[in-house]
Amino acid sequence: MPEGLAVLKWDDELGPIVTIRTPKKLKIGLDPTTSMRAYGIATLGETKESQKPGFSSLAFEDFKLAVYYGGLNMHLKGLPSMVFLVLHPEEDPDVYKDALPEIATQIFLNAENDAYEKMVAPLYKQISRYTQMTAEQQQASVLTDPVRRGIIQILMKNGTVLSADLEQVIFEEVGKKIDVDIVLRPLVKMGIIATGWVEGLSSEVIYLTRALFVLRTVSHNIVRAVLESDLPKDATESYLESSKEYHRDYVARLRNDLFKTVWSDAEEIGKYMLDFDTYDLIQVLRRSPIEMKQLPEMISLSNAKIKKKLSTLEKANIVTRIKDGNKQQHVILKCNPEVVTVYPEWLIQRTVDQYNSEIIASQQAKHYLEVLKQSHPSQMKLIAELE
Amino acid sequence: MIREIHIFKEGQTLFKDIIVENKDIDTDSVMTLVASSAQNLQEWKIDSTEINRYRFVYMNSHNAQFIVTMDRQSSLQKVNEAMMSLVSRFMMVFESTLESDEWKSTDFTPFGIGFRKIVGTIPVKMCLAGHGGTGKTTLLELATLPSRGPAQEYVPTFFGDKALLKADFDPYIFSIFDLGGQDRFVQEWGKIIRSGSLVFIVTDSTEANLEWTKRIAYPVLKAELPYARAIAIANKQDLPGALSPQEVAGKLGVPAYGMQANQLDFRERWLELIRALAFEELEFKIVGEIKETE
Repeated sequence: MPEGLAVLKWDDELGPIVTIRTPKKLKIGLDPTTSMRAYGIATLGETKESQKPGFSSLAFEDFKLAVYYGGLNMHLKGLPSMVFLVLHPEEDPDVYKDALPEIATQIFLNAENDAYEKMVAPLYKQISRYTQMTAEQQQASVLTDPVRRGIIQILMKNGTVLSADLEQVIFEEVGKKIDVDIVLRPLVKMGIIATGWVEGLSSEVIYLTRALFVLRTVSHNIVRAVLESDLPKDATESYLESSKEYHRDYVARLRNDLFKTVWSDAEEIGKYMLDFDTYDLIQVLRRSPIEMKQLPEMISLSNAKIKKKLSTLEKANIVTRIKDGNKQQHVILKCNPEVVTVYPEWLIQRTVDQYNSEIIASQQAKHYLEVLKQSHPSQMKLIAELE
Repeated sequence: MIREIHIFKEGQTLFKDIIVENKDIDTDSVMTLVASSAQNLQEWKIDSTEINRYRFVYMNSHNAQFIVTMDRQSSLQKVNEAMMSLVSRFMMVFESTLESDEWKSTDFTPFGIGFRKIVGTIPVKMCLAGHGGTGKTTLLELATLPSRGPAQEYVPTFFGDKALLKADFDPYIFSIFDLGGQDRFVQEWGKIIRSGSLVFIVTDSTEANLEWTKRIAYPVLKAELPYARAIAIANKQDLPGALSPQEVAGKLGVPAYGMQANQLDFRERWLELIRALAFEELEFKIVGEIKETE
């Protein structure tokens, strides 16, 4: 566990200054010499034009620092531009390579009017859990962020967008100008989008390489486990029937309004996945149906908390409870909420259409089709085989 | 760095406090000009204008014109904030006085204490610029950490260092920036030195170092801080073969002052040089006007 977290901004008269720290008594690692060095490491070689955000780490005799720098643009504007994690000398800063940028981004997105100050302590409490996030949770965190969700929605419709246009979209969504690089960084890292420069275009181009959304799937493992269990026949049949009915209805909703269904689920289910207690419960239930009384042994939660979380998941149609002949309650997944990524095949035709109707520049369309070709599953498989 | 304040009403001076005089301009004429611009401003709106190395920040409230003179490159945002708070403070006490004819016979001098307090909230930024090993970090520590004693060993500064200096410089406090002097860091100075008022060009009083200073440091300083005040510190005067301060001044085109930063005895002299440059009580040069003479 780190010693603490601090947010710094550049002040022209004073240099780097700590705007907020948690815990409040944190002193180590925040002396002026150290913060100047950290600024040096973060900004070295950068110009106003490059201003790239990035993660770096520094080791000192008594402590280490994991640092996320928000870019020279923020530095020069005197906005919070650096988030420090102060670590014990034996800790590995790279453990926080994914978590710190995520937390820092939340802080930078709320830089105006110092709104971030209230968020720092709760974000810090989550830091060690952040380091344990599964890939699925990281994807869910993208879907729960309204700005990033909005970007994916645009890209899933159009496939490609200019960075300058995206900046405007973000501005309309959050009402302020935000460094696009900070917002896009996790998406690039997850392989959801790619960026590139195209000759003749004044702004960088963003491309969707994998679509990202949430689906409620039928878990065949669970169905098999229910069929093979000692549950009374009528209870089994009742579960299978209700699950079938639910999925029939779900598919109808998808057919009726795919966009609405998928994105309202992304927002709702994404939240459950980011709640570590709820996610632990889902993970346990993905393995098999569980007798209610066994749950406290399987996850480190109090009975009251388990009941509360189960009730939430029940209302969200993720979990159901049935009783056996001995009146014992069994908890079973009604549907398996899954964050999925798929190859956006529909965007090939869409790009051709956009090119034909001159909605996007020809170079941009050609470049995107090339990107889609290279990220096609068959190509990926080929590369994997070659490697 | 805030230098002066003038408050006018109907062409009369209600209050003025001159901490560092604007010596190279005709202040009275400038004030008349700026006050007439201020009169046309909306209530509580702040504007500013620049002349030479000065910036005049002005505001109009209750038909009184508040004009603050600052170093041209100091942080405008901070002076604007200072202006808001000093006008608020002034109005808290004198609002009703201004609204009647009472102002014509009121003594506004007590406002001077509040004004100087606000001036002290904005540190005067000073930069120690020079090649690695010339003694910048030693000078920083000599001023701010006298109990530690001057460092006797050279440890190159990575990127830069900074410290706050609170000494007998009322109303000012100083933020000292020690700029990393290795060649790779000089191009980074621009990120650190913005808003600097004072530049101390630190040399080890050798020919080679003066050449480096002119060739490498001058272009960056002239580009980034053309309106700052500068003197040279002819450090390491105790070393054999050290050029005299006069020789250093001649070659750099900047008044130079002798120093031995590794001697605690020189602390008083060092603080006095800082004070004297801030209050313009010694010979100095404006960075943008430096001409290398030899």
